[in-house]
Amino acid sequence: MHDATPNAKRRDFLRLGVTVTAGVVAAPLVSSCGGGGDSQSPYPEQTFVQPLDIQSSNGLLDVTLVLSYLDTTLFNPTTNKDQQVHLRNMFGTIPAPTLRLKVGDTLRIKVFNNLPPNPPDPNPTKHLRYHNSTNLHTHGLHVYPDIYPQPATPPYINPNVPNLPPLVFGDFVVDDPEYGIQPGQTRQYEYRIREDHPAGTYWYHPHLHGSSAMQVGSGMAGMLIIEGPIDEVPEIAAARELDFVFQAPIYDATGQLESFGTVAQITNNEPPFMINGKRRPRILMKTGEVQNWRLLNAGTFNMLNLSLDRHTLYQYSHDGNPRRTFKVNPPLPESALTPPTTPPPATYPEGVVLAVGGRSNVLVKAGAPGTYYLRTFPIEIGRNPAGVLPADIVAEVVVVSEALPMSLPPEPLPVTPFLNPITDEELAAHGGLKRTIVMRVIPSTPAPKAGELPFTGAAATPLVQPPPGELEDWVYQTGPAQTQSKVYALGSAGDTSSTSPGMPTTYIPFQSSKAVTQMVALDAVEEWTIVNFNNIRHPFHIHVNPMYIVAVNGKRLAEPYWADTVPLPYNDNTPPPGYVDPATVTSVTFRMRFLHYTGRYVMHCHMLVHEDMGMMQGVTVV
Amino acid sequence: MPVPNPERYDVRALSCGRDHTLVLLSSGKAIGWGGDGSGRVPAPTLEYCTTPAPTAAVEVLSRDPLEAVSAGDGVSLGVTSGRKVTTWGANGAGIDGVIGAVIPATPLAIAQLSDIVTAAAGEFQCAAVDDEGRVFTWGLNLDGALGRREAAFEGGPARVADLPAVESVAVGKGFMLARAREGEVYAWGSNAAGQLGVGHLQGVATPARVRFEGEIAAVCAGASHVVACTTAGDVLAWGSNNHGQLGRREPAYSSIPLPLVFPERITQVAAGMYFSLALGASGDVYAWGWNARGQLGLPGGDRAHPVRVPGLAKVTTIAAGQAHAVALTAKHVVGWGSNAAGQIAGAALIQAQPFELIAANGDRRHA
Repeated sequence: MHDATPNAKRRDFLRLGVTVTAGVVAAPLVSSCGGGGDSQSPYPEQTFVQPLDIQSSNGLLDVTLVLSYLDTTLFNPTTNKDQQVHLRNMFGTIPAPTLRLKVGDTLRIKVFNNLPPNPPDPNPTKHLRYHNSTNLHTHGLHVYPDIYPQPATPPYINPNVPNLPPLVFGDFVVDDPEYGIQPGQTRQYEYRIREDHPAGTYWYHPHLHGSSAMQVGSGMAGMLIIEGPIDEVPEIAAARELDFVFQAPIYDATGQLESFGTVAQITNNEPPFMINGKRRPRILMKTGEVQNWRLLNAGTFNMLNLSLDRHTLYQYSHDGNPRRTFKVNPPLPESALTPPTTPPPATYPEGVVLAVGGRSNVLVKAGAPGTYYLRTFPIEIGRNPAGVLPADIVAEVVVVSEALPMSLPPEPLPVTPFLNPITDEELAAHGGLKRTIVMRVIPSTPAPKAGELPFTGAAATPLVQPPPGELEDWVYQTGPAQTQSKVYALGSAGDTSSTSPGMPTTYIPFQSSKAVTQMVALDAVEEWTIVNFNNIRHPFHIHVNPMYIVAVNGKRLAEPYWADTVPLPYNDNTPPPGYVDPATVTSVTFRMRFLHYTGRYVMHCHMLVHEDMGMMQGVTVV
Repeated sequence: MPVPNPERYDVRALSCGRDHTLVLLSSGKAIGWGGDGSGRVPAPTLEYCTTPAPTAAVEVLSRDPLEAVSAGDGVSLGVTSGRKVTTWGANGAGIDGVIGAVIPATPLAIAQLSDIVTAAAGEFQCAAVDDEGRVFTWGLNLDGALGRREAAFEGGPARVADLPAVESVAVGKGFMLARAREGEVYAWGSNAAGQLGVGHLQGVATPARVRFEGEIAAVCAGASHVVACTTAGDVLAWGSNNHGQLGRREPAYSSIPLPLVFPERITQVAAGMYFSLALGASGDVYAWGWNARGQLGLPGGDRAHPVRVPGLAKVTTIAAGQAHAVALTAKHVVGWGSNAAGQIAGAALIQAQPFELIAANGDRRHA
């Protein structure tokens, strides 16, 4: 039931920076316990708030989203105080509104960039200078990735180039950082959701190479929900839905985020997570009640390892991809909250793990009355103990004595044939191509051995001299996956520098006409192995097509699964004497169908500072 | 460094990589077009975002004359007159087994290898053959692609055991083929489409013999298929067939060699990603398979049977890259297919008919 029409709310949305042309806005959430909080209620107040929820109607959701600075107050979990912040923002809220569609619908988003002009930026890395330029990505959607062939769907007009026919963009992010959607410009996106699209939880966020970490780190992200057969399962339809957008807004002591260095230095030190802009919100449930939780890690770096005290989380979807049977996550033992450091445990128990960018849908059935914590448990983002993310309480669940007996749905759950397993036979019959992608960070310190790292000669220094506080690491990928290394490959590498011909003075952004792109044939089925050389769990993400994960470290999985963002196993193998690289590596292997869409898109590390520094590569399906 | 434009080059050999093209001249110099591995060096202040790929050839700045070149995926290998292997471009296979080294445009010698007669570059794996017919491989030891089960993940150059004396090697996406001096073929590495030709789809970590009738004169590795020609001028192909690259519509793949039929004796073959080329004794060129980028030299879609490439005659050498190809005619080097990285100089982005790269004389030794 919806209590608002677009017209009734238009004024409010204009204030918020969002205009709904087609679609409806859902009623604000009240808890099943009558809202709580007022003096008559026997229960504590539910402080969990849903993001603004905008739904399609008659097959269409058409919104205009305005980017501008937002002055607001955020609870600062580091100081435990409210803090005034001045951050770049999408749509006037942190997080941005939830956009809700059904399979078969069309989503149109017009982005108006009302941020001020890009200020002068001394960063020598040119593509990191455009903090106020932007674009948009629908993370996980299987949609057309490129600019639609003209003529585009009327009546769109491209105000930037009035003499050309209107441009309509699919999930297109292969923008030159200097351009993208510049301040003052507008871009029309259109995403047509296929009927067989997996029903699940997705999200949207800016994706301009060089500014994605600053913008997502400012809270510019929202949930994107595709509803389908799974949502019509009676027990799931009956369950109250709560949407969790986990974010860790990043800002300096003045409440601002104006330097790439501020986000680049959060590695391993990202602020604690908020949910829908609230720190540790309280959720009320009736005993026996089943709720449907959509969980999204919209941070920029850290993972989540979620478990609810004394409750089992029944996971029925991973990264938007429904599962045929639940992955049952019993509560993790309390002893795992404080793992020993000397010696550290061999493994850290895992609950519902969300890589940065990852999602899961879980059902939870409230147990006996009481107060329980939703926690993220310690999890390794790199080799223990230094790489262990600490435990944290992220929400509080109060189960009240009033009963609401509800059931979990029977298995199997509905899964679109789009997610049928990819067999050896299907792979062989569609090209059988295997590719390797290498993800690697090479630190600039300690000083490398001669010949081992790209930059060793003194004359190369100006090329790699970061401004104070910027870029502690060199990030690049070897072979086809490197960005900055394109510079090296094109003449600046080696143990001595070259003056004739001279070396380039700027990096080659990944959008270079010379940047490496994986060319894939439409309808091919391929198997890719993503190799990790680092002692950190780079989360590999590829746009447009989901991954069918079949092997980890070369070992075939007993139960392959679908994902769009996968944290690679960290690599703590010991380098041979004199080398910075380990003798063996870790890897994830997946199969992928390149279906339905030709066009240009990308794959990258979803630690967004890594992406901005170059851990990204193009894909072109032809 | 742009190449001065002489009236006519004496061309000795051609090679195409993922997105670059190399032409080896009789003088021992090599020139290139396109992406990494072409030898291109950018100007110091080039604006990469907005600058289209240059169209002029560049000279590979080799200190020593080159006897052979091989263009791989973003990387090139050369064999010098001193029988050393040199490499330039973005070397995913590493130098001396260390892939942390990213190399300069100036070719760098691989120290461990000597007395080399031919070499082949892939993406993360490379191979070379010495004058005794021994095969050396290096790079990432994934899926058995180095043919050496015991090699470290970043395996430096070392010999592949259990092979007879080898004449040449070919490197595909994660797999390799060796043609023995006696004409038999051995294969190892990735095999998801049956591209090893050994009757199954399992990867093989040490050389396995490919069974066929006849004596192979040349064998070429595409991305996931293989094309070979025999000393009698017959053609065999195996591996993936999702775009008709085996010269027939069915089956969708073959893990054993299948014959193709041509109106004449075939003297050379070449294989790219899902497409194939053959050179007839007449000098005509035949193309079949995937054509999304005009890589068959023909307009229109895929061809499941060999089609003569129009406008080409008296060809003496052919080479195929990922989605482009080149040929040496009596007067020119021409190229066609994808020009996304400038690998066909000033050709169209999708060049569906031969485009002249340079005026050239075929090398007399190959004519």
